[in-house]
Amino acid sequence: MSKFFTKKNVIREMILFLNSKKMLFVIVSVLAISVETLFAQKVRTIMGQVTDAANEPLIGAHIKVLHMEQSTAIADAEGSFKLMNAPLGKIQLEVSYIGFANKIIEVDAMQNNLKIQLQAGMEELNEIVVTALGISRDVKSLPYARQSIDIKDLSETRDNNLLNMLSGKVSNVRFTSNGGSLSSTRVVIRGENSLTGNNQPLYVVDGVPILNNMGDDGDLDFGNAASAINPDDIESIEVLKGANASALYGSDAANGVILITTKKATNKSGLGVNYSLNTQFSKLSQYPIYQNVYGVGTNGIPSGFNFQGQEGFDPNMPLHMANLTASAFNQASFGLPMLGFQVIGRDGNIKSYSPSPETINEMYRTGSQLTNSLSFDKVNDLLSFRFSYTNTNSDDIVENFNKLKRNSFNLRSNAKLSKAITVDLNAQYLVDDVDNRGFRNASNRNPLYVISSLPRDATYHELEVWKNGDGTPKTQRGFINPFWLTNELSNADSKNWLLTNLTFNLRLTNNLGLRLRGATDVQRLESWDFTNFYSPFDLDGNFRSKQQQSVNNNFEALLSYNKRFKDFSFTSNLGASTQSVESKLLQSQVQALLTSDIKSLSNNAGTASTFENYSAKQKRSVYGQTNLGYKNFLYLDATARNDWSSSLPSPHSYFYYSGGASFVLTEAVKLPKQILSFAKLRASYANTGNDTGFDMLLNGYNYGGLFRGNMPWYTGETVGKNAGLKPENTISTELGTDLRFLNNRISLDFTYYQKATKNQIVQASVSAISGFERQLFNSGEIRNYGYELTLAGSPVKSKNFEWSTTINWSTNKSKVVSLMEGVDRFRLANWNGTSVEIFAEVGRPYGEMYGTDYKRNEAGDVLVDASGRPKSATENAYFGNVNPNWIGGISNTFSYKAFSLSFLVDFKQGGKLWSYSSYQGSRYGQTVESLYGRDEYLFSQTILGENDTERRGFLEANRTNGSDNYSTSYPDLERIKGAYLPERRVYDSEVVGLAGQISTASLKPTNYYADDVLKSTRRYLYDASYIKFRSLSLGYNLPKSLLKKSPFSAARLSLVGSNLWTIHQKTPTGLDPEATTSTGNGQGIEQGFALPQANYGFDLRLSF
Amino acid sequence: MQIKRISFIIVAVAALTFSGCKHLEEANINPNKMYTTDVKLIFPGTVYRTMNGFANLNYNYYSNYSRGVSVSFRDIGLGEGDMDRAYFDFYVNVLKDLTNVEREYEGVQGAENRTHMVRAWRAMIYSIIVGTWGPMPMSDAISNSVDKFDFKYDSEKEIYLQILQMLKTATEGFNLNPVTNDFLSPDPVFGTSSKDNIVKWRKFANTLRLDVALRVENIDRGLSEQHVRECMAHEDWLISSVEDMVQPSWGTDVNSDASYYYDRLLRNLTDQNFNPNTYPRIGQYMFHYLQSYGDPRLEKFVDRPNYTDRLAIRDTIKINRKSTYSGLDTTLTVVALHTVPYVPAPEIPRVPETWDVAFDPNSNNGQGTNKYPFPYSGIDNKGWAVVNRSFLKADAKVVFLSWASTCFMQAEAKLKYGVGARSVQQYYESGIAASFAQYGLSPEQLATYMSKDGIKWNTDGKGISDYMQIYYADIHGAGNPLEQIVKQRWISEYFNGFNQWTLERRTRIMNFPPMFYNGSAGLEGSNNRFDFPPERLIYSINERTLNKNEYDKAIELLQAASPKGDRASRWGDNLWTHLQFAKVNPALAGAEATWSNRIIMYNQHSLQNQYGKTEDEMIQIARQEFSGITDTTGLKTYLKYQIAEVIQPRP
Repeated sequence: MSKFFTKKNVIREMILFLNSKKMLFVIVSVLAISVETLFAQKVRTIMGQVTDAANEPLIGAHIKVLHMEQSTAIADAEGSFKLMNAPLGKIQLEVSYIGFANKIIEVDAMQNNLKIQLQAGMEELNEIVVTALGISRDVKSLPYARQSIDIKDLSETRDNNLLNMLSGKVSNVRFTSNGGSLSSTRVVIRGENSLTGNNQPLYVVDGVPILNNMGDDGDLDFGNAASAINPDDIESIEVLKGANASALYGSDAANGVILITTKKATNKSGLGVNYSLNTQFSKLSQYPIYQNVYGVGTNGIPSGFNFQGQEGFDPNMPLHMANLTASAFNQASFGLPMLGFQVIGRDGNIKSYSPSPETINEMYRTGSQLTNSLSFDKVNDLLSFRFSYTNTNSDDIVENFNKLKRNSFNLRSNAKLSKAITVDLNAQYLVDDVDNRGFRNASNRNPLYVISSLPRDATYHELEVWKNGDGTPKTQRGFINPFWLTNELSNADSKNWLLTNLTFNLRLTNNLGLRLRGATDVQRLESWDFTNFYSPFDLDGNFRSKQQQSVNNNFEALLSYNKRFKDFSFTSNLGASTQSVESKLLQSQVQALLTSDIKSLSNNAGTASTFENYSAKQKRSVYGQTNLGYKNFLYLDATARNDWSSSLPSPHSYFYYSGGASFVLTEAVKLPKQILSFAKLRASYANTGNDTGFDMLLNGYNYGGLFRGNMPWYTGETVGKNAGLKPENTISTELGTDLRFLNNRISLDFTYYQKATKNQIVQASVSAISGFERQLFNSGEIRNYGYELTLAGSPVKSKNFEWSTTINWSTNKSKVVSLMEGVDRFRLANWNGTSVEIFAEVGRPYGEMYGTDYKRNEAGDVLVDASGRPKSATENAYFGNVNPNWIGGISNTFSYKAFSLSFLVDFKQGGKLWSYSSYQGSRYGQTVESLYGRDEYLFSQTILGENDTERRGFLEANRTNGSDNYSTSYPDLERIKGAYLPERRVYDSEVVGLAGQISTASLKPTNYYADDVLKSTRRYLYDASYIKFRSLSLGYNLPKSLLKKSPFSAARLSLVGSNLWTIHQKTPTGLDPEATTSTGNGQGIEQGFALPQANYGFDLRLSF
Repeated sequence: MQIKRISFIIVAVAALTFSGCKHLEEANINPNKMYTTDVKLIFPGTVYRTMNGFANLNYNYYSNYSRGVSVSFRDIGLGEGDMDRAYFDFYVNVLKDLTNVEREYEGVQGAENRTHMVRAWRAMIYSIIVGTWGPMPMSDAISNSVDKFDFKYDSEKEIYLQILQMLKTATEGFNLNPVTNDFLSPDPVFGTSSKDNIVKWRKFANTLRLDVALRVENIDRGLSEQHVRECMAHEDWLISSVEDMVQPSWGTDVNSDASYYYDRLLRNLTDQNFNPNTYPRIGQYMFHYLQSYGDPRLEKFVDRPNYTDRLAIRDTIKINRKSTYSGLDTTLTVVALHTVPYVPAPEIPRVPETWDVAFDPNSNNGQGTNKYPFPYSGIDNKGWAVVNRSFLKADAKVVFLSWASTCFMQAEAKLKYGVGARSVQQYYESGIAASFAQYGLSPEQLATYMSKDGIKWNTDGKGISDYMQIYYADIHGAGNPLEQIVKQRWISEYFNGFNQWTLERRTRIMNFPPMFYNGSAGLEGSNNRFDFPPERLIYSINERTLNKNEYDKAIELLQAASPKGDRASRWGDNLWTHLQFAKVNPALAGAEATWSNRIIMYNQHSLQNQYGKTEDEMIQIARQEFSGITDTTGLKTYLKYQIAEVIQPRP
């Protein structure tokens, strides 16, 4: 031992490494070898067989030595296993199998051949779970709530976006997809903590915190890293929800942690090779319901006829025929009833002016997704490794759109350097190549959006030719052809992600272990996007290329100590870590192309502008955790941590801590297990600090551009920095119970939490007079509290059949306690200026929506002007809150012999959604609702030739003997002559002669459905509640007897589907209640969101 | 031993943690940012962005309010949030940088000239701001403090006092022969990198001061006179040539410095998507003044449409005929149809609510059963007289201060305060000449124009009317010199809607009719049928939440000083409250009676006679444009000429 400590050079080098991290592994190796000689220890091999109560072998049962991650085995076809590397002496083995109670057995020093029988039923209570920092702990000792996500169907009902598959599986976690599987997914655990900052949880993959920046970038979304993790490689996903659970991960974990552990090598029967093939198809599951009565036009067909001097005049076509290539015909369907008369179509050929409801179906096709996955597992005495390769090719529901090629490689290896030292090398490498990533939202570049707003008479055939010989669009006057978008706009990107870590585990003594870990997370994105010359909305086109790279290095040392003294157990961890993150972005753009088709920065009519962005952060931390247990029923837990962050002003430091207790009633008092099998009460308190982002302290000037060729200019920042920022502070408390009844047949997990984040680092809007648009402050407080409930059980259980179900339900209530001094609300998001706005407002829940509404009198009647058209109120009206009242999910699994059927239903109650698509559908006269009053107006205007005054209910002076316009009522007053509001209307006080009287005026449909829509955006406000049938999987395990002669040791075939059915929704058909426009904090606004799609397919798994 | 080993590890861990701390400071430095304030790198951006911010207001608001240019989709209305951008454009994008530069350079030896240049530019921006909104934050703006949330609004007078003082300091402080290179090189306003620009900067500061001094007459005549006198004491320090004019230009790089107008209007313009409602067209009133007096600037102000797109009108033409045999004069007067090059944009709507169009007694073969037809019906989208592209092109100029307006300012100064070396008439005439020089027109054109009644000093001119016959472009110049000066200045400030609007508000010489609505104007205080152009813009709606206390006080200041306030509409922050510098609009009195009910007879007066009054004149004028016209066949080809009826055949 003294030999070790005489190696002063080692210490010196150790310190050197602490300055230059490159030395880490060299030093660690030296250290490892030194320690190796000190702790030589022998191992043994334990063999045995696992069966069920009927002595049937349990193939795939998992056997492991408790507290030793490296020593595991899997039962083969006969239920037999061979556990290598088991330590000498008395040990505990944990045996587990899905659907059976876990069993922990004591194995004597001499016992090397075992026969183990498992009992079908709920999981046993000595559950060991991975918690913060990868520390495995007994569930009993945890003072806070945790939840593991059921991942068994993830690789079957797979989606290219991992996070999109998790909705409904875990309580109080809201997943919001930004649209489609290649987009980012916003995840909020237990409500928003931060007013304007990041509310995303920390993702930790195999112990390494990853960078997970959202990929929104204008009308593109490049996805976030966590979404791209390959489900085939995932062993488990744990959600640590509160600050309590995550205090040890530091401030980044203030919004919760999602711990993802990838699969390790296990001792498999056969060759250890697994192959799976997954094929899925996607189709639109809902279309908006359109009217099929009126065709294109803005007010009938008043202009745009084919004659000399008119735009689009074609001498070869019949004179004075309506010419749909003229600008009078855009996207709007406020034309004439589609009676089948002839018009000149958008391709310049004569066509019939008839409904074409099939166009939208023809525009879409079936998307596909094909995944091949192959893995090798190898375990021997010294080395274990698992290598997997997964390849995905997918294509979206529109041709040439969202084409993904994904290759992902995963390696997990473990080597035993000596008896006391093991080393893990894990690496995950992912390459994503995407062609024509879908432009999103109501962007002119988004073909999905344009397709859904086609005029009702537009046919597939007339749009097919989108381009003239000279490169100009075939139809461009006010009308955008979706084929132009899918063919003349393009983009591509390539993402590389390497996540690797090297970990040394040293057993210093029987009770003391040291873990040293170095990890790097490198993400790189290269992309370009191109809008061709002559594009109708950007005539001179656009080309942009972008390179982005982020490196995230983590180094960590963790010392663990475990000891039992009679009735007491003691677990303690002490650690230190350093993290350094650096991101660079280089973007060049040409805003005016020189010519068509060339996708290059050199295709440039001016000067390409280049933009560079940089951010970095360094963090150092020390932390400790300790847990004291008494007699397996009382546990006390405490953590403490100090961080030093480069993002905060000197001295950069902040300290925080947590504490908690758990009490296991059923261990303390003897209770009948048949009734109450287990009961635990837990309570915890945490105080967590948080730092901020890069460059938030000092103001400077950024490059602005080049003026007149020789004057480069710099300009001050629009966000005012603050050199006096203090760390944020979240205080949370949590109370909960874990209860299990009827011999563990039913379990109930209940949690109440409350938390408050104070001293928030907010970017608050300030008066522009200050010279800034926003300013950084420490101010404001949000409180959240809520309940979470998880109920699980097996209502039916027999020898061949079992039904197990899990229900989770949760609610979160928030309250904005304070903002800055003198400020009572912040705007989080808005649409079209003040038309629809989302706020954080003092004294109200987070995410309050306001918008325009009609001017009303005290009785609530709509006040109108002389023509009967509603007036708009000066102040915006309250619309409601965007967040749901409660959310939840129900998952069920039925198994019968070799068949299994599982499905998941999730639901959300409450929350408002404002829909731009609905608004646009009304403005364009596409929705069925926009039909009301059109026939009546047509009759009045065109057949009877009535004028506006008559439609208001009066006769014009010159049609009577009177001299005053409003003196004589029209005898046909009662007849409806156009559109009208569902609400009662009263003339406003400013209307001379009519003020206060009820208005029965009929409105011109275009006025009501198109022109006046901004006066009341409330017309397009919906309740976003839903119940969705989220996923389905029907699987069949081929019987052993069948496989005996095949090379396969196991085979499973499943039929799978996801998003198959929206059972209940309050939004109009075609509008996904989960729609959003961004992954930011301002939710509740939909703007051209993708139509709902369903996926279905099959999954085949083979083991060799 | 174990304890020793653990302590080693703890030491190592601690070392790991603290070793890098000194790097934490550096890790937060942004390498792409400039942390120092350098006028050379900052000033050009503020000029560029001033132009953009000004152009945005000019296009969206000033144009229509000035009645010189019509952007009909904007009307006079504006949305609640529209002013947020304007505040942002001025305070965040420009004034912050200018103020910080001025603070940084103030008192620095060898940087005096550059400080005064920045100061003059800042004063100009505030002169636009105060003329647009009235009370606005100036002394309290740009705090550079994270603890300041309330920003005081200065009263109009306080702002003008500060502006005048800043300009006085700058004017008097310029040193034409600095020891160091104390000038802008290159100069983003005047171009080139010469120290000769210092003279121009001094002229800029002094001329702006004169302009502002004249503007405050209605606020404090003594203050106005004092500053006018001081400015006029150095007439050689006033703008006196086209080169002196403050008219920075945008650049030609469509990817970086092309004009606001180019980006907004031309960049995505095709033959097919031209929209006359968003494209600026010459306003009918401006057009009537030009057309009435044969003003050759019309050619420079507007683009003629392609002859195929032009509107055909009915015109009364004489066809001079003399029989070659008999020698008898057989001259005919005919109603001819032909196209015209200039169709000014009428203000909407066609028929104001509660008005009616008269029946045309000649219609329907004399039965008189049809109303007068709308004179512009059937016009092609591209048939309008649109603003000349030179104002909108990528490297267009923004004329903030022109030579012509300077002359008219001098005329006004002489007229009101008797200062200046020359006579009022001389200043007036040189103003017109300066405007002609600015547009490159010939001395002959100038001489012809100057000889017209109404243009000639101290004469009255009779102008044509608009299509509803509610306004006549008359100039009552006899014994009324201010009207001639103001009307000429209003014309010369074409496309600078701010200067035109401001001129009218303080003089009320133009006396335009109101603008009309049919129904809701969506603005509180509007009577929903007709309104005179706004007197000011509303404040940024953000201020109501972000600077509430001071915003409320600002409204008090505004209303207290207004010669015609409106406390009721929109809690006092409305479009109709007159600013302190303005005269009360005399047309408001009795407006309800004047404009409520009318029967209108449409006319095409302003469209007629664009090709003269005889067929010969027509051929002659048209030939200048179309070389193919030598006879009526040519006219038929290019002007779609045809005789509709013969009115008065002469024996």
